Parts: sequence; structure tokens; C-alpha cells
Amino acid sequence: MLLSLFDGERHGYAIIQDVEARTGGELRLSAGTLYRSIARMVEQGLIVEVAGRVAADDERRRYYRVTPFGITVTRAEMRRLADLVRLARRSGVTPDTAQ
Amino acid sequence: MTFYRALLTLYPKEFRTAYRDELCRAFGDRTRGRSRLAVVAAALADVLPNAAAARWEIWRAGHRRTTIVADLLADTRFALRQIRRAPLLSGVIVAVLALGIGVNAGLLTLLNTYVWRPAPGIPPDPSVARLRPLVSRANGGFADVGLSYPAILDLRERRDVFADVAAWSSTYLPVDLAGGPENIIVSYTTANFFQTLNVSLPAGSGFSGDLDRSDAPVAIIGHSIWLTRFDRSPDVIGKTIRVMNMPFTIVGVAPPYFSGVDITHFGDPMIWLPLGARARLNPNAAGDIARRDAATLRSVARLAPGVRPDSVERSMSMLAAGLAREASATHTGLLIRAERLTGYPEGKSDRTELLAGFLFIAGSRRHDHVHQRQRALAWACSCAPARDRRATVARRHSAQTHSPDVD
Repeated sequence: MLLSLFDGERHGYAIIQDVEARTGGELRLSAGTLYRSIARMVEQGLIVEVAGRVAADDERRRYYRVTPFGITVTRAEMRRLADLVRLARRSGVTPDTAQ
Repeated sequence: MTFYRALLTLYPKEFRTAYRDELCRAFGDRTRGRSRLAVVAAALADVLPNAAAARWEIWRAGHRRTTIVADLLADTRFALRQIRRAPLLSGVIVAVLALGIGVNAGLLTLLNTYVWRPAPGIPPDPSVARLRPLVSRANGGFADVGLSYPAILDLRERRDVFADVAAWSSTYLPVDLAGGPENIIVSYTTANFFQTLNVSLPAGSGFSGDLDRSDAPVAIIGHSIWLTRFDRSPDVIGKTIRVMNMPFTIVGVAPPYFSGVDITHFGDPMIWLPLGARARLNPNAAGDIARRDAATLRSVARLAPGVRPDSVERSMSMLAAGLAREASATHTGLLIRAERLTGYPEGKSDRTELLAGFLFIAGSRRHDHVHQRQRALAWACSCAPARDRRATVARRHSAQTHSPDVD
């Protein structure tokens, strides 16, 4: 979801569609899962609701964007995952051999 | 959509209020074009787990504040992990803490047992007070002095202040307990000594009648002597011990740990003799019982009902002035104070010696070895300031010659 908002401000359903597209349809977020995550990330300061942004199709939609703190956290998580993958490769572990 | 909107009531109120419209819109977008049955199934699959999860998160967050036990367990686990990472440093810290806590607990226990409360063997009684006759020093302080037996009788006459007054003095004498003579603390006491302290004897009747002026050859032995030399036999009453080679009949056994009014002789084997026996054992002291200038006795009193220790000095001012005139050479400016009875010896300014005594008590609870006491005193001497060390050595030396009193 954070990666989805890296490209710009999005409303809830647009995030669902973007996540689905990025994962090739493997991850389809339900509305409840999406907004529980949004509520938690707003509380943690990772994203904020954009004030005054009006959608073209429905002016009642609420848009969200990632905060600088959210960007920092996203990059830290990317580094962590990259390090994990590098360690796995050094050890000769690949997705095919991980079993 | 109506069904989905109804299901939203399962969410917590705050969440539902904040995101109801967004949820409905996103759900409508996702299920657009599906059959009614599929929409109902999707609504159930969406709301039921998410509403349960949202409520669980709120419940857990609320309980996290009150789960002190869980936090403590987490902190403990963290501490154990830290200890495992640095075992040497942790071991040193734990050892220092354990030593500090142990020393503090031990010292406070000793102070409570032997100093703040009455000496061992004496039941706490607020009406029993130690009398402190004091004279002014040139440097502005006060020095403890003794009282004569006639002065003790004068104090007893003051029934408005004292219900009873007892006195004693102690010395080392060679005593034969059937194993050969050995130096033992002998305390000369007035006949009412044990009664005034409310100390009951586990065996024997003790001193009876007016033995103060009598040289009756009777003795009360310490509990440790009864245990170690007479095998705690009840037949000990009536047996004979020899003090300075003179026979004395045992008429009582002191209670366990009792060693007098304070802890000066705690742990030492002791015997108690009537005050009048002093003249029998020391011919030079034959007339002391009647002399007002033979002020060698220490005293303890049972206060009259309603009398407080801090009022005794004022009540005794006239009597003290008279006693001071009678012994002007040594008792000028005499004050007689009464203090709450504790095991702390009066007039002991040398705290180092007292501390060494505590450590001796803690390390050894044996009652029947005089040489251990001498070792402890030697240690105390080595710890004490030079002035007090000289005084202590002189006192010890004179004690070995069996003549003067030790306190």
C-alpha cells in the first residue's frame, strides 16, 4: 500500500486496484482490510489524508498520500528485505531450494 | 449494499464512524456486477474477520496498559538476555548488589536485635529505664559516672518517681566450674536486679530477700554455662562453684542469651553474685557498701506509673545536687537522666568498637570461649582510634589482674 502511494495520491479503491495490478492479481484487498490498514497507518503517521482533493468521478472520495516518515519507513523496510535476500543468496538459498 | 451497511455495525464505533462511507464505496466498486448471493458472501467474508480483528486490536491496546505482569515478564526476559550477553559484568553487578543487600540486612538485623531493642533476654517494657548519672566535662560534654549503694537507696526512696531501682557492677574473676579456674565475667547485682528487669529465671528462685548487705555465698549462672558445663541438668540448683576459690551455691540460671542490661558482655559466660559478696571476695571493698564515695554502680529503674523517662532529670535535680555535694571530688554538677532501655551500652562513644562487636556477634554465637572474646577485643582495639585503643588495652590488662570493675 505504501508503494502504491509512492506514485502519488490515491483514494481507497484506487489503492485496491493498484495493489492487485502490482501483484498480478495475487493480492486482492477487501474493503475492510484496506481501511483497517489505512486507519493504522494514519495513526502511525505513515500516510495522511489529503485535504481538499476532489475526485473527478465522485467528490466524496478521500485521498491519501505517503508522509516523509512513511517514505523513510518504506526505504528501511526495502533495505531490510534486500539484505535478507542477499543473505539468502550468499547461503545458496533460492526460492526453488528454500524447501 | 444494505446488507453490507448493516454488517458494518460489527466494527468498533470509532472505526465505523470514520470509514463507513469509504468502506461502502470501495465494497460497491469491488463487487460491481456480481450476483446478489456473491455480494452477500463477499460482505460476510470482508466484514466478519476484519470487524473481529479491529475489536481484538482495540481490546489488546486497552489491556496492554494494565498488563503489568506481562510487561514485567517481558522486562525480565530482556534482562536475562542482557545478562547472557555479558556474563562477567553481570556476575560482578549481581555479586556487588548481593553483598550490599546482605550487609545492610545483616547490620540492620543486628542493630534491631542488639541495640534498638532491649538487650537479649530482657522483655521490652517501656516502664524500665536505664539511669545515667552524668557530670559535666571541661569541654562542655558529659561523662557517665557511677553511683554508690547509699545513693541507690536514696533513689529507691523516691517512690513518686521510681517503683524500684537496681544496680550492678561487673568484673573478671577466676571461677572454677568444675573444670579448673577460668576468667569469667562476674556481675555483682542488687537482689532486685532480675525482678526490676522483669527477667524470669528458667531454673532456681534467684536472689531472695535483702542480699545486698549480706555476703551469702549464692550465685546465678549464665544459660550458656548451664548448657555447656552442667548439660542443662535441673539438678544444677544447689551445686557449688568456686569463685576465687570460695564456694558459692547455685540458686538460679539466667535465661538464654541474657548477659545483663546491655550487650557489652553478650556471648560471654557470666555469673551473677549478690552485691554483698563483693566484700567477701575483695577485702579492699569491705566497706564500700556504706561509703558514698564508692561510686562504682550502674543502675536501672522501673519508673513509677505515669512517669516518663524525660521527666526524671527534673524530678531528680534536688537529689542529684545533694549527691554531688556528698562526692564533690567526682560528681560536681551531677545530673540523673533516664533513658529508654536498649542494648546499646551507655557512654560508648567509640562506634568502631561497637561495630566490631556486632561483627563478632554475627560471626560467632558461641558462648563458652573467653579467648574468642579476647580476639574480638583485640580486633576492636586495632580498629579503634589510638586514644580509645590505649584505654581499651588498659581496661583489658586490669581485668586480667582480677581487681577493678570492668564497667
